[in-house]
Amino acid sequence: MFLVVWAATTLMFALFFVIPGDPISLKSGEKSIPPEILKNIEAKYGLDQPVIVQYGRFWKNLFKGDLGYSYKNEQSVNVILGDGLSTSARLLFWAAVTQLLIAFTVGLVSAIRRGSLGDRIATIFTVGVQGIPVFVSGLLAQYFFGVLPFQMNWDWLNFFKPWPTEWTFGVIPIEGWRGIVLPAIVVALVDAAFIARMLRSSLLEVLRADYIRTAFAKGLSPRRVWLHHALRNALIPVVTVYGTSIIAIFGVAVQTEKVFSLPGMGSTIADAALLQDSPVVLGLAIVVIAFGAFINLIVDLSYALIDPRIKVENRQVS
Amino acid sequence: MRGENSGVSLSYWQDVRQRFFANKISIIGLLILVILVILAIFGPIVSRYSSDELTADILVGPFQNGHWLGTDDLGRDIFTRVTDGIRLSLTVALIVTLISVLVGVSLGGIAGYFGGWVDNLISRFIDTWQVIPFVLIGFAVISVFGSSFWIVVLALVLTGWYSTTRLFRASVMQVKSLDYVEAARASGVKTSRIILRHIGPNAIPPIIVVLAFTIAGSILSESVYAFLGVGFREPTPSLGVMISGSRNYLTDKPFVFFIPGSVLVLLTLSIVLIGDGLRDALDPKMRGSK
Amino acid sequence: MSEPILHIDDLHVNFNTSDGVVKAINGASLKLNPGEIVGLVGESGSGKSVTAMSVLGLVPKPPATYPMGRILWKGNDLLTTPERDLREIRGGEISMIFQDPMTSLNPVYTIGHQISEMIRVHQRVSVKKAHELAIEMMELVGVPKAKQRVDDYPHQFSGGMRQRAMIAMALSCNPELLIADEPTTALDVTIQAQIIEIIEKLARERNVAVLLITHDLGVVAGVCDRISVMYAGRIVEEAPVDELFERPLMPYTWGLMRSIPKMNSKIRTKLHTIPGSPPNLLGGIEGCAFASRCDFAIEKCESVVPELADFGGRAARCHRLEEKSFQENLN
Repeated sequence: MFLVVWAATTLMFALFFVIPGDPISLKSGEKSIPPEILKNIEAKYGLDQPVIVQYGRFWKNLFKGDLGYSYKNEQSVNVILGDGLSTSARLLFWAAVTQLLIAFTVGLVSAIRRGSLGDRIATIFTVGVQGIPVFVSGLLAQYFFGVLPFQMNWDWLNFFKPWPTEWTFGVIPIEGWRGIVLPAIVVALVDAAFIARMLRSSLLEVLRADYIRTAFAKGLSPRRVWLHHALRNALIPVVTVYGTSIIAIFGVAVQTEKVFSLPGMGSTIADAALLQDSPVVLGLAIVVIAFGAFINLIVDLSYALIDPRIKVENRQVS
Repeated sequence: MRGENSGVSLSYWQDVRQRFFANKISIIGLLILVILVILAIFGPIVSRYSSDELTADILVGPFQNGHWLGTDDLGRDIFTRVTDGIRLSLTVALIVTLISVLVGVSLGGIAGYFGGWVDNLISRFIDTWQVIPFVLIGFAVISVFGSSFWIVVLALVLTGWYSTTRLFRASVMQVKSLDYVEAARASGVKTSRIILRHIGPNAIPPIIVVLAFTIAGSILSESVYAFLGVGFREPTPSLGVMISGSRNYLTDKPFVFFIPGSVLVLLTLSIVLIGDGLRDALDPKMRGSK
Repeated sequence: MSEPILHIDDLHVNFNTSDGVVKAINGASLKLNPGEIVGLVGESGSGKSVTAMSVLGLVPKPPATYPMGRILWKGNDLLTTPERDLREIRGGEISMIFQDPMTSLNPVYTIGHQISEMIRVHQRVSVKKAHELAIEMMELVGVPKAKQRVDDYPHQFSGGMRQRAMIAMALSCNPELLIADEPTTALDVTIQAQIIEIIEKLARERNVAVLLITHDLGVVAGVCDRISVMYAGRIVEEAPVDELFERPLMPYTWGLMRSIPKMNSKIRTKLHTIPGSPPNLLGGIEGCAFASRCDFAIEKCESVVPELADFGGRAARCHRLEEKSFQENLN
């Protein structure tokens, strides 16, 4: 796993420092700068050193926990990160919870009541959502819950309230909890549909297995067969998919934060990228990548938990 | 009289075609796509305006002043821009998919067929790449190299290449170990012939499905990049750009959002539906069952 | 002769498929007495498994329908028994083991867990007690080091051991009937004998009736009291085991016996086969289902279904048996 993180980070580094962003123009705009000041700035950022040295400095700082300084305003990237992280983390936490809830309910119900009206609606919903990018669904949500109610005087539908500022335990909003509901649902829906479908097809596949027949032959109730025997076996492919979707969630979060104007890590990175503020983008990218690799690791470990046939060493390119 | 099963036996591809067209949802998808493609092709011919043309009608609603779908905040005709947008999305998606498939087939094929350290190397590479969210790649590439057409294509290819590679590698590995391939090898058939006649046809079905989903994925990714400002930018008529620009007018003139939005969704959805239909039709496990 | 404990009476099973209605079972009748071991023999597709699974209501209903017939278990028709009561019977009074023990056991739970689960469903015992009982059962079927192996997973067992575990599980709640659906087909020949031996031993010891389903005549020869032969969804012959092997009455059975390679046949004797293949059951069949492949068919065979006629302790379904001379000439 660490190899992966290292490699990915190096990749990003390479990209940014092959053609570096330009701190000079960011600071000064169009004014021309006296050469001595130029030299100072370059020295400060170490840009006048050969690439190898820069690379070494980069890692040295990284181990110290220092992610560098923004070109734009000289803030420590760590600080910028901290600001955005809490917002993003809270959004993602609630999105993840909602997503699991939706995915499992929809997936289970549509598998158990296969062919029923509920299943059909669920299928339409899951397939339909796959074609809608997050920013579209986000804007759609904003429109229906923010704009329309205004115009139609449907105040009860007006959920679009400011992001809460008070939190207990770091994740539970005290006031303004409604500000979370919409973005969290928007984020959750994206992959909830996909996971629900995975779960459904996995469950139906498992149900054709012989051991399910044995379970029924033992006189077990349908509930026991579904929840105890079928579900656990069905989870295996679902966990894989879940891992992938968590990594993709970054992209989703960025769009959502942009749409709802939330000051999270996503918008920070997006803005920094537009300004070519490389250290910020690089720093945040490292965090995101590390997080992604960490999730992969957890997914692998959970395989071993769910399925005793799998030993931890047997990881393959999935 | 012999006791045999009734029914005509079909060739594989005939069977696939039959099943695909029996699926109502796929047909709907296909229809929508066809309509959109027709619009894309004939849009500029039919329309009086060009997509950059600024007219005096600002934010005018649909069906007014000769603008079938209205105009945006710069007075540009939405119908023209949207049809151009469809064309742009499809063109980009097709190119990206083509390149991705080429890369996937070659890298994946090599990895799968030769195994050993070659496979290891390529697989590790895939692993590494997988960890990077696609948005990040977009940020990196485009913020450094700019947002011209081919750079966007590059970014999208970098995002999607490993899906096709992984898939083809798995296909090749699976088929390689099949008994009848071993049999062919044992009877001295040349390697290239083995790949073409035996492995190829079996690896193709999953590729077709991945193709459809890669196209859909590219369309989505491109629009996300555009929306975030790291992909195509004004005045390029990308659907994502249009949606991004409509944000300010959501309250007064929602159609500026809804029109490109719906078109984008319909475009993506139609391809996804076709992809689903193809997958169901090609799945050998479902043949002969309902 | 005591009352039969299981009486499958003129069972009919249809399957609604997209191509039409498949008449899988067309009048199957079977009787089992307590403690008896009966073999149900037939080719793939003859309907043996469907019959067996129907007893426990394990056939999904759609697409299956039961237009006619009854399955009497101790006098009660299982086809009309409510699901809740059926669940108690499954495992508690009637148990079933299946063909492939690898896929028939849940791979993510230990063997001990799965056996205990069975016990706790039917008996009011603590988890600990159930665990102990599971170990006991495993020892009973001959699994070595049962105390340790009870916590192993199915994939850690060999094929034969897995099937023993399944038998242990099936007998753990003291059922009165064990249905064994091709229990040895997926196993090596050497192991097959062991498994059949265990089944026989435990069945006799505990007075459990056994319905042994297989396509392998060798398997039934050594262990069954009586044999029923099934073809195209009907019972075509039924007799005590020795009589069936010595003197088969129905041409199909006769053909089967003839096609078994014999140890003392001369070298280069051609293997006998029955020409053709079993009929398609879509839409039902006119007359005797075997007629098209039968060496002895007459006109009547193609239009009229022969009755299962009684011949003193045995029965067979063939028109030609009405002719006195036919029986002797057949052998």
